[in-house]
Amino acid sequence: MSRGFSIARVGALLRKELHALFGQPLLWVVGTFFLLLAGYYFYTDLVFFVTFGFGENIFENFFQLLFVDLRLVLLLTVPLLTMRAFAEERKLGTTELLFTWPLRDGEIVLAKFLACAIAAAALLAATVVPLAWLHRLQPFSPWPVVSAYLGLGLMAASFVAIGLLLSSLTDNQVVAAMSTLGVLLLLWVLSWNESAGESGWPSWLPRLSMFDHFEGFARGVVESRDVIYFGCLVVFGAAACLQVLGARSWRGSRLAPTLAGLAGLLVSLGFVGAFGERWNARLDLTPGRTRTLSPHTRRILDRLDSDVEVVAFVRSADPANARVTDLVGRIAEVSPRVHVRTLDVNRNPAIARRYGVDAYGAVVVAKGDRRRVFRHASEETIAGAIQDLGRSRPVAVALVADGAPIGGRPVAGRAFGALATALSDQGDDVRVVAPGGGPGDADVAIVLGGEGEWPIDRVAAFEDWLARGGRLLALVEPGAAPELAAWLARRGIDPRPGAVVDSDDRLHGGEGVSLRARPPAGTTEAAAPGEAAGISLALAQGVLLSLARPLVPAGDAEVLLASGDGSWATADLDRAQRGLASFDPSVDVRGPLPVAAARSFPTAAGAPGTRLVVVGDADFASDAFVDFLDDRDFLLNAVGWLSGDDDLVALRGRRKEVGREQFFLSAAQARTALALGVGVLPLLSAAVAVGLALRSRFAR
Amino acid sequence: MIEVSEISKSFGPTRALDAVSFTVAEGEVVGLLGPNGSGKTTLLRILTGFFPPDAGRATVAGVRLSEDPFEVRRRVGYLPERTPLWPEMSVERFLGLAASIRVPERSVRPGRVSAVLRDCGLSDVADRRIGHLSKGYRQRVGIAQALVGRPHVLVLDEPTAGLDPAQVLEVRQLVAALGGRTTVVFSSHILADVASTCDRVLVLHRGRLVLAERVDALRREVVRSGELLLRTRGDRAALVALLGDVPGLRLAAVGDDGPGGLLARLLLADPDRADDRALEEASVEVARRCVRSGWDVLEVGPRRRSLEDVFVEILGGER
Repeated sequence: MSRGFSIARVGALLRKELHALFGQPLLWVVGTFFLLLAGYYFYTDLVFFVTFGFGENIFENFFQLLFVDLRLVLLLTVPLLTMRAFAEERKLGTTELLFTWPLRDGEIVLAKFLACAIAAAALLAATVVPLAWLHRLQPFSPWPVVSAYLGLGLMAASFVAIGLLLSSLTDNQVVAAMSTLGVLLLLWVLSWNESAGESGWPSWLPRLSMFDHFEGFARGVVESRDVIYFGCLVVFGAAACLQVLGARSWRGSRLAPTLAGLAGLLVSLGFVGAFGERWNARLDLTPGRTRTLSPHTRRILDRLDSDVEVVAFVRSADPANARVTDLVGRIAEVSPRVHVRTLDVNRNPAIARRYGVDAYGAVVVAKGDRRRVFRHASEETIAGAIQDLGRSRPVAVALVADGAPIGGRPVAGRAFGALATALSDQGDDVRVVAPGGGPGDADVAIVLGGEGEWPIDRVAAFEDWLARGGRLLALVEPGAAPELAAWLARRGIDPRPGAVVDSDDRLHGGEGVSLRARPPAGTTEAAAPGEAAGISLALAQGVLLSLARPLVPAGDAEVLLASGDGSWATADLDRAQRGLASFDPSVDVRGPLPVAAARSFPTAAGAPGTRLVVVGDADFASDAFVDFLDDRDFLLNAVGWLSGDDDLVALRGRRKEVGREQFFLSAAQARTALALGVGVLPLLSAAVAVGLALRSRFAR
Repeated sequence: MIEVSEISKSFGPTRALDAVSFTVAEGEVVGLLGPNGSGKTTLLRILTGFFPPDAGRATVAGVRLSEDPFEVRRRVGYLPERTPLWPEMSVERFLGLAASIRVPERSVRPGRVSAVLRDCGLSDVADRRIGHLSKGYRQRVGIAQALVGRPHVLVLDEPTAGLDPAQVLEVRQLVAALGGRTTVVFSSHILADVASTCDRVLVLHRGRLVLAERVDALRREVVRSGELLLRTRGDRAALVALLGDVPGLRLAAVGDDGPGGLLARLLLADPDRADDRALEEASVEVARRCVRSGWDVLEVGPRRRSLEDVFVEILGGER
């Protein structure tokens, strides 16, 4: 028999402990409530994320919330797992068996620690199931999640160590659980006192807080000092537990050496922790921001045939300006025709004044004597400016809103300020057509809703403009003027009356009658230049529409977007608008149904070709919708295709970063999330608990 | 097999053991007697390496306790007082756990487990949960776990406490059967346990060893009182006259014993000569006198004290 520390004996004890934990209802009852709470937080955090966080950046707006909540659930749960470890043995008197068997105290502590840690890990592992389901819905980088689970695991291990220590001090399980909870809460509360220095608290006290040391993990950043901190807690708990067991009986004279040993342990771990703070190493597992430019920007830069100057006004001391420097640096790398300079405004006030710059971080894009200045430069704005300055003249885009606000905040109804800004940012010359007006000399006209007056002469003006080479993007609401719809039908894309309803694939927590539209099946191959299909092909998630009209396109028209398989078209617009529509097989038509289509008309002799895009909805372009999913990219692609930038469409959308793009949760998926979180997993655990309780009752 | 020298142990102000010394030979079965709180359990816990003594030396199964308590635990099988067991485990699983810790060779473990199951009469309940067993079966499980490692020394703390008479008998037989092969130390506060199974008895009182005696020597204590009892029928005055002058005997008292009956207590004049033989001779003389005078002798003979009386007397002498 091994006289030293024996892994075989630890294994034997561990099997006994695991059998006691997993073979008894307690763990499963605790697990039921753990999973119920974890599932509740999963569901509510997810709904909060898609509703109030607009589904943007799943790491910051969902996972960080969720993991911070899970930490609380863990804090409430682990004391219930560890309370019986030694307290029950003391109560039963079985400590006497363990202490008189040929076992080392270390073997006993290790086996109990491992058993409780495995139980806690099993609970945590169950919480991965909803996340795996989420990952299947929309992929995200797993590494920040791995980091958070590493942190949760380390924190659970330190909870377990502290729980074992307190369980070894008493023969009462309730006392063990409550004191563990108390100590853990105390370690949490330490960080609440932000103004420690002022109120007479020692300034190092908050650094002892367990929870400050978890924040990094939740963000996806693994720091050595945090790992060391949790390691110290585990070592402290286990070593103190060994001391307590070594004393065997508090009535004896071993109390003084035990307390001395604990004090020595605390001091040495304090030193280790301080060293950990001093020499810290970071491992950042957050997904790197896209380090390369989007294909769309690269294409614009590739097409440059003359030199462009990009001047970034930064201040070297300002960390926020690193982003701008990095961005213009990457642009300069791609094209030799782009000449980048970074200047400090303070040192070069004359140059700044010449460019009309008065703020740090501003970027000037200049070609010859034409230039554009951005205070908040992004890849899109700089690329748009370079594209615009490369043209002989900007694309003139007429917005036919018939009174709907373009800029500012909408008082009621739709507003299209965000769309207008996006078009301006990419260098287009945006004009707003007066109510009832015509397209004028615009290159592209966008009809936003078509609900205004469309008398015969207005339709004729548009038809005439189209015949002369005008390009039209018609966003036709269910309530649009019949004259407009009839004209578009004559042009080969017929907006039918009624509306498309999809009760499953609508945005959860958002607009009640929304639906998601995607490129029709079978059009996933790359589109050839000139084909309209490129408008929607590269879009990652589809377009979120409000109540949309079904379209009937002519044979040579291309379907850009179609509704989902579960959708149908209803003629009862009123019920559809109120979200009450149900499928009636006698009159309704099953989906998928086209909701966006495009058509090119052959070039008439002497006149440029004509292009037409019709979408059965205008709300999706409004400020309320345009930031959701791929709505904005779809609109800009459509304008790009209409204005003849064929080789640029089909590139937008691919710049999206995994996990940072918008997260869409349909109503059906939200129901699944709820069922998975607070239904399936807790019920499974509860079923095992009941089964074990019955077995124990009726077993011999 | 066990050598204990001047062992002391205190819990705070309470002196649980005070300079206790004794030895136990190999194969001997020794009973540890003493009232509750006399330090029996403390002594057994020290011998099994549960905790160390404050002072003194002990060698168990050839190993000095202070040098290698782990090795001592390896060589000693121990049934703690009140038989603590894990109620949710089945008998076989529990003995398997004990074997996996006590028996180093993995291959012999199943054989050891089935052997102790058989020896302790547990084969029928091997798959039952310990928590569902009767007290007697639980006691057997406790003894089985102590035996599974084939220990040099078996230490049992109150193995018969709380058992019904039939179960007590079974445990005594089990212990007696181990004698000769295994050195056994067991504690009890019931003299009969010790008397029926032990070679030798150690009596602890208030932490001190007050008696270390062979059981057959203790049995002599039973008759050592030097007292005769006579039950007869007749007249009190006549009886006093009849027995007042028996040589070497003194009539201590005559009392009534039922209707018309008399009970007389006679003491040997010389208590130092009080052995079985002297009492027998005195009994014969008393009977002869009564019969000769025409008295009915219902009973005559040495008064036998119970072991309990002896026990209480020994402890009383210590008070």
